Amino acid sequence: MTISVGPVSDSIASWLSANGLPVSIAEILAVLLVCVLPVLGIVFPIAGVAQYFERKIAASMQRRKGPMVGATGIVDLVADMLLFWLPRWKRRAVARRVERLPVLGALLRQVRQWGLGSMAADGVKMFLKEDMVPGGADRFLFRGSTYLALTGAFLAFAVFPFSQWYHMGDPPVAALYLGAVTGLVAVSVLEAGWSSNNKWSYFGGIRAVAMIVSYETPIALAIATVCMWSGTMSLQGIIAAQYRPGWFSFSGWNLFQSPLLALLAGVYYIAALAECNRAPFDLSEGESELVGGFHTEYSGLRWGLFFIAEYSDMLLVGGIFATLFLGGFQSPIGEQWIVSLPPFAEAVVHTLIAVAKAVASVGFMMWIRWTLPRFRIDQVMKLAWTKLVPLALFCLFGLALTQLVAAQRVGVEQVVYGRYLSAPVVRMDFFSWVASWVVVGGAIAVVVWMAKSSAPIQSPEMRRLLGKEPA
Amino acid sequence: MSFLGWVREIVDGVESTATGLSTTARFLWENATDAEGGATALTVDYPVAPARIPEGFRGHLFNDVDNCTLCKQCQRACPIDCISMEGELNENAKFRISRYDIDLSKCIYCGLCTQICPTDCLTMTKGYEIDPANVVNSRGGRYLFRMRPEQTKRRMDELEVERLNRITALDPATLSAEDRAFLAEIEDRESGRFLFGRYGVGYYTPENKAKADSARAERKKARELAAAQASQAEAAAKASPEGSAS
Repeated sequence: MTISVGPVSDSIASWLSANGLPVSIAEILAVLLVCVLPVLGIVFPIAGVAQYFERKIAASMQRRKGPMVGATGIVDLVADMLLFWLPRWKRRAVARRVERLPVLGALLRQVRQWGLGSMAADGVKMFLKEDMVPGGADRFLFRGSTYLALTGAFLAFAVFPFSQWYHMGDPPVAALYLGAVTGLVAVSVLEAGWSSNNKWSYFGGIRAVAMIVSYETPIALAIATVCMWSGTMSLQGIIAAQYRPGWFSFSGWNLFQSPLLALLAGVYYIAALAECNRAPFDLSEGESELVGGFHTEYSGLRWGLFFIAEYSDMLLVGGIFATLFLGGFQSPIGEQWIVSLPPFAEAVVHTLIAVAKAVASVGFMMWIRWTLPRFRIDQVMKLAWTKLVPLALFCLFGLALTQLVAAQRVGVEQVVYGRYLSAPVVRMDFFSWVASWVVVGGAIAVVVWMAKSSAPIQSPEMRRLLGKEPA
Repeated sequence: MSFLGWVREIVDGVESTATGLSTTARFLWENATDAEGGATALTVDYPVAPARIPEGFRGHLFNDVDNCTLCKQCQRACPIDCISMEGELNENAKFRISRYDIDLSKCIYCGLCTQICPTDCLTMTKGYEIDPANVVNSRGGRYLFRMRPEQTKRRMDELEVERLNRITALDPATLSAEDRAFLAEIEDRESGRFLFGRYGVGYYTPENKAKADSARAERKKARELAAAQASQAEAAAKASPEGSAS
């Protein structure tokens, strides 16, 4: 019996079995490597650690120290387990003695100062808490929504390209698939809110749906525009279209291709922030008015699953942003030194670069979260429908026009991305590139200047803050 | 809304967001580099760095037994009965305190005992670092002040008290040979308890001690003066009973 989850795992399995492993073990290893490692080895650890870093970053931005839980409890626990026959005070004495050891003690003190013990404490707490289902709740939906929350993010990772060949699959409609599965977040949140039998949860759920359905529009428009610009809906194709030979490979990134694409990147990032329910768009949680929003009634590991789903979503959004606008897994300082490595090393380096870009995006989201206050629901809707959608449409038509006027279809260099040659990509020559920045960028700058010089400040709150009119 | 107003709204939004982001980034940078205005200015890394003790802080109790008259008013004032004491006659057949014990695991630091103390020998120090569960340095949860006749002969100067306070806070296993010898000179091996010195375990600097002493002397002088005036008035009243009666 053969397991097959796509050409990548098949080729790994055949390579492993050709090198002496039994076929069944080789296949299982290949499936683990391709399907399980990205989720269990990359997403889960980052989601777990991200919470600690978020707390530290939040503390720093508020001039606090943040978590400072030490390793004392862990040392006590280990001493309890290893010296169980001794009385308690002797075990404690040994633990305190261990904490004064020269090297280990210094390490433990450092752990305390950085608060690393809080990660372990949070994890243990989450696992040991009681898993409660509130009275009157729909048990099936209540439990199912936690799995659905994770499903959306993890399904999206199925098409996420970590390297030239390291991915679960690269269907030619990957962009469409992404739009479909990331929408599952809305279903999960609504399900959690509705099944909890709690009005606050319900409000959180319907808010999330209203918001996510609205923000799907600019996201879909942004992804569609990038697909149109690259001439393909395959994520690997979109990345290949951003390839440039030489040391300045970042010059091929979509972000720098046209001012309209840079604008579109901003639109996409804001909308994606809203889609993973992240501040300032975290209305579905809204602890100031909704207790905890859709996850009010969840406890223990189920709450933890929502938590991991949120961070997986953030990581995914960062990864997709990097794929669409920042060249995906490509390094900014030339690709030639990576693609000349053996396939395995190339996959490792590219995966690290892709994950680094996603993690940087997660860090930016934390920065935004601890800077901006939460929007009201009407402000959220207004931002989506009166700002982001028109801007995305403007970019779509502007880029279509740019392509008609200036771009040409060329093949990708076969040496590097030969596997994806089948989709010829769109690329501008140097003159058109400069012209696009000068003409479009200049036009945008002129409009901004005119607006700033002639139009009054629109927001009455801002006018009051700036003292432009009496309070 | 005009088109330019729409653009203006977007531009203002982007600009104010950028202002906010730069502010939080500055905070983050200040915190990361420990610059002025970072968390270090407001928060103390307490177990690593010494804590800041505010004025009027009520810490561990300290009894200066030289002035204690064993009146037991503190014992009666204590709302949770954590103070106990014993007295004895010394070699000159004078009454003096032999044991003064405060159970710190019960003490609520209300300060009533220090207010009632007639000789002001019971005071609150700035000390706070006794772990009732601490078994390593054998202190347990008790603040013990025990003096026996032969130990009261061992008078310690300020430096020695400081040294005693320092080394009783340490793990006995890590002490140097000199410290051990010093401890052996004054510690109460028979009952397995330590004599913590005249100034107790708490944080009580010589300056504080001098201040308290001078305040106490002033109060004593004032009391004596008042008593003298009262006795004079009494004598005057006795000398002229007619005057006071009329």
